[in-house]
Amino acid sequence: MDENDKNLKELFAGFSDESVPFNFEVKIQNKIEARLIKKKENNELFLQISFAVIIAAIMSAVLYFLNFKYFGLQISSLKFLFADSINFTGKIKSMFSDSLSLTWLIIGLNVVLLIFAERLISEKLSRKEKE
Amino acid sequence: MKREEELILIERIKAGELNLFNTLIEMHSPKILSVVRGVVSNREDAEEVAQDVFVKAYFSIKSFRGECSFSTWLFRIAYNMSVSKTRLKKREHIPIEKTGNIPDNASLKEQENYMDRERQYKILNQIIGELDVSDRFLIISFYNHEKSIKEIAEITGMSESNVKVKLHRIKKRLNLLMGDKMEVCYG
Repeated sequence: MDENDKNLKELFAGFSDESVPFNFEVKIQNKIEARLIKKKENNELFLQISFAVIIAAIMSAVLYFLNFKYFGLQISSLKFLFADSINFTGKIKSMFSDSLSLTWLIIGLNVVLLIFAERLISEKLSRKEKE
Repeated sequence: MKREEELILIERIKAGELNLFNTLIEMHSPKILSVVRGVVSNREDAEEVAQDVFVKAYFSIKSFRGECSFSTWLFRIAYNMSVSKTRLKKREHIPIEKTGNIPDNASLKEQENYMDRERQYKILNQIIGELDVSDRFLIISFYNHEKSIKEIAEITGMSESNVKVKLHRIKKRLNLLMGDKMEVCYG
């Protein structure tokens, strides 16, 4: 380090501001905590999605197995729906016209409503919890 | 705290005693704040960046393998964060710290020296403001924080020879501009 360097070093020393602002550590701690919470939430979401995917896969496998074992339905047999587009809506109507399909339709709608209500309530509860 | 003690502390933090991280914040925050303040445009932004440096360090402490000092590792994070923070923002100013008031009983010669220094600070402040962010970091780490060429190379990811060349160029420019501006000041 030559004389010039020493002079510059001395000058630069004047720039040095090593004062730590009030609550600096606390602010860092708060940021760390906020990130930990976010990380936890992300993990939870990931777990929920994984769970839903696994359940869906199991359900599909079960349905496939039931079909294979008991019903033996073929995808090609569904072609009747698209065979002639003119009669398409009529065929759909006929599928839901009997009383049994109406019962299943009502049950299905109820399930959808229940799921919707459950999601709504849990969302409200989690929002309250956060507050 | 000695380097060995610091490494033991870091190992304990890595093992799960995360509450000890406060000790590291206490130890290194003055230097990190100082270097970031020298590079990032305004004080609030600088403090924000310094906080983020420690948050990042907290979450990636497991990747610290002790190949360099913890201070150098933190400086590397500070360098990357400062560069990304100022990439789109043009530097406005560097706050100059007051060097202290002239004592009442100071002689005429002492008063003159003080005034010279004040002028030099202002000029240096102006010149540093014209440097780009990585050059600013380089020169401040070298002169203010006494980082070696090797450490600066580790911090910035440049080769040692590149750092040497850059430092030489910046010094040359500083001296040239300082000379010019001092001449303008003194006539």
